[in-house]
Amino acid sequence: MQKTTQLDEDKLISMLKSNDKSDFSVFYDYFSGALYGMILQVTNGNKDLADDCLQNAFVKIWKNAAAYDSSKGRLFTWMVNIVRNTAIDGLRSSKSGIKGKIQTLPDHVDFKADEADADKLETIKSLEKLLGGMKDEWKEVIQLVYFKGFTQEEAAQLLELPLGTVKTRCRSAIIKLRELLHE
Amino acid sequence: MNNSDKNKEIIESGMLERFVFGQCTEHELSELVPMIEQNPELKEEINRIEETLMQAAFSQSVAPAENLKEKILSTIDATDNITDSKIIKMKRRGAFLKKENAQVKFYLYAASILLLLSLGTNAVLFTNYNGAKNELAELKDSRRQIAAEFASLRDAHDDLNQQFTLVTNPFVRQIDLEPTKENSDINAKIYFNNNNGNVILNLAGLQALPKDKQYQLWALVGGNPVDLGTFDGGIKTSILKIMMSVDKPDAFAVTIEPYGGSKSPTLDQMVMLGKLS
Repeated sequence: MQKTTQLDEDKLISMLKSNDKSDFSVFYDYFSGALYGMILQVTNGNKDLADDCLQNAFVKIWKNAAAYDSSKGRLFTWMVNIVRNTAIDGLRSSKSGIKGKIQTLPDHVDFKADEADADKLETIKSLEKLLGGMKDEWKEVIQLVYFKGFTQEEAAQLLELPLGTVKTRCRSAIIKLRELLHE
Repeated sequence: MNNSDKNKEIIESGMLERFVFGQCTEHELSELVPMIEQNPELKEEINRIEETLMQAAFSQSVAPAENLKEKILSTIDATDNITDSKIIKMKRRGAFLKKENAQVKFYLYAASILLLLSLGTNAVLFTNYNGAKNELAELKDSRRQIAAEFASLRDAHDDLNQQFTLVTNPFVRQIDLEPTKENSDINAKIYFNNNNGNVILNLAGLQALPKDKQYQLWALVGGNPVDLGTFDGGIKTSILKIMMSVDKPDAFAVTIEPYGGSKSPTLDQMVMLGKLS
């Protein structure tokens, strides 16, 4: 997380917009770890699927550089949304449909990993380390919506909660997250 | 309500997080974006949310395999340079004409013929190449169309899936909203969860209203109307909408109200009613 201040955001944006391949290399080195981590959360630690998604997402990011508008939000937010959508598409086509998404739910809500899959376990543990100090009801919501790529509507339906509750829990979770990150 | 109260309410509602997640509906964006543009306080809060989420993501960094970077770079390269290079290779075929010896004349004839043949071949190849290029463009076009159709089918499928989950849930009751005015064929369905009070509305079959109007859903609880939120008609995409929850309603009603909804229902504007008998 210290990394965020090392390279200044304007510089990174101009690299993206330059369409220059040597800039791409620096840009990739800077963001690939964080984005790959996000993808692994969506794919439940499935590395083959995550590799494909990272590749597709970076090609999209690089090809659509002109579409990024810094007045509408930060670079990372824009990229995370592309990456998350790419990963969800990847997951859906690999598991055929929203059903796959729902079937994976019990694992990441209850943190019960099946022992066979070490990568999956690793992914869950890493997130649990970050979110561990948070109330369960906030944790499950932020996990679904930010890290697993559910829409708030989907999360509301799965958790059988009103949408408004999901929204305010996301809010509380982020305030707590801020605290946890600065501890 | 003054500006800073309003800002506070927006911030506490979690709406800005929803905005950062990229999950706001068109309607929500049309309300929210102008407010954000006018209020530095909201902008500042969005920035803080983005910063927090970015730090959270960086704390979960996992280095991808080394070879992925090369793979991505070459994919980017490949999509850049598909079209160039094919004709250029044939340019220098006439070069051997400079060779001087006794049979130069013979070679010149031979060369001329070869050159003509080569030009002919070039022309044929070029025509083929152009044909292939057009075909490729057409294929790309139809692929785009198929992708768009697929996406809309997938949305429809997800919708059906959601409805199926609702309909098969033993706690969920379906209530048909019937038109209250004569000669009206307006209708909608409500899925009401007895267990937790969740209300989900099926918007299929609702026509669009003038821009300054919106539908508003009410529950009647012990004879009193309870506001369950506003919604638009004429929406082509996701037709299921999650409304506010309610405890032990006797009936649901829909009125047409000024945009943004009213505090209490305008009774002569009631268009649909459905009772839980």
